[in-house]
Amino acid sequence: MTGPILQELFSFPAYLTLKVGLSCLALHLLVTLPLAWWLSGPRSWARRGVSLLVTLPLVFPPIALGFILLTLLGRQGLLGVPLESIFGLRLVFSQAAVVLAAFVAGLPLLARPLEAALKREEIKELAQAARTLGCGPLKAFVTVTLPQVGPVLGSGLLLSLARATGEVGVTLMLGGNIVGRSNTLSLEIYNSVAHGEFDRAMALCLILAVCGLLFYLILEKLTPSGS
Amino acid sequence: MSGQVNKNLEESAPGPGFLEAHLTKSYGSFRLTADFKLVEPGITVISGPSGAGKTTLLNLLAGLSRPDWGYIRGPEKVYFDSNQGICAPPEKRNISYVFQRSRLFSHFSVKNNLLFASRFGNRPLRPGSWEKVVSLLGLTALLGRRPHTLSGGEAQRVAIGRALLAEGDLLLMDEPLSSLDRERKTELLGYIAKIPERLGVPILYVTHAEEELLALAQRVLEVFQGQCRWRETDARAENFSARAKGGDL
Repeated sequence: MTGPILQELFSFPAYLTLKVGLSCLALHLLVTLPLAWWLSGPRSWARRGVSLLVTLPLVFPPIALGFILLTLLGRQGLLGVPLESIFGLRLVFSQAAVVLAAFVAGLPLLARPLEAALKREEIKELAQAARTLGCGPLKAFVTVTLPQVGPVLGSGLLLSLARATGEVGVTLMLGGNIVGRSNTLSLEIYNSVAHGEFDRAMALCLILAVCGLLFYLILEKLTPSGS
Repeated sequence: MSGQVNKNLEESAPGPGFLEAHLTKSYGSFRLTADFKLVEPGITVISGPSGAGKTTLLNLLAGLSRPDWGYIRGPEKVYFDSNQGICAPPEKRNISYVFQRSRLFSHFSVKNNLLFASRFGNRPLRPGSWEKVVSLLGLTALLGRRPHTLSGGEAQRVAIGRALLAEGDLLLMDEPLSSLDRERKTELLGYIAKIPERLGVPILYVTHAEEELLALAQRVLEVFQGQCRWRETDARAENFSARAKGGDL
């Protein structure tokens, strides 16, 4: 079994999965972190609407969500047409689509707990204290709020990364499961089983299992003990 | 209104700790009205029952909450003026604040909490103020510790030190001793009473505890049902002394 595992470890699906995971981490830090900060503000209809959209991947079947995104981002889609005509971007069935799928799937796993942490009264009070000590809102966020919600941010990033590596439904619809272009490790398990290559599927499963175990161990480290 | 503020600024050259507030703020059916001027150094106690609007008033002065109408003037500039659309954020007001709970930053040591304003808040330490504050509040032994290892009294001492080292023109204190036992209160009252004289920082101190009022107040601003008015401290203090002697307290 060691041979096939090593072989799969250096295969295109493993490389793509790693690339997608790292891209998702960067996207979450750039997009989800400020989004969660905004969502933690006073309640409004805009925030409720965005909150619903953020939660959707948790409560809506991934394959259905993937289909909706495909119709929106496809060449004739509501967003696909302007994306192609203005930016020359053809998103569906590309690696960017795989990243987008993984990002969308992991979004609620980071945004919701982070939003809840940022809404806590004591966190807001600490930010207020920093403001009275001369910090502007951004500096107060970076120097006080962010370190205070650090464990939540860390565990949320890890869970969203785990979700990204295991994503199938949305990725299948948006990425198209094209071999050599958009076939991640999880999709490759599906492909192997479909072709009757059960040993290969098992090797891929073991790789993902080790990744899962690593995620779990890091999560355990991040969770405060005795609280 | 704004013209009047500018005229006053031109007429007088207010010293540090000067504060003039003429404002209203409503929350539902509650309405706070304040119209007062702080010109003297020392400790001014804001007294009144719970829910009277004392904390609301401090938050308005510090810039943590925005008045509906009126103006707030500091020694060098206008902090808020509804007519001119001025509303300086807390970090631009040069007002330090000690809250009911210490609000120490648990990811920093005591020393780094104390140095927070100078490191991150763009408020450089004045020469000698570190030594003065650390010795006045007896913080030397605590500098290397983390906030979660401190007792309630120690944490509040650090919070007071942190606010003082922010080098504000005025120190706001919102019932800083309310969560402490009697022994810790007495100890901290001694520290607080020395601040204006030793460090030259005027204090606006909120409490509804008469013992704190008696120990600290040089003048008292009463807040009752959203209305502020000055009270004769001496008469009040004599009254309390008499009651204390008579065993009523």
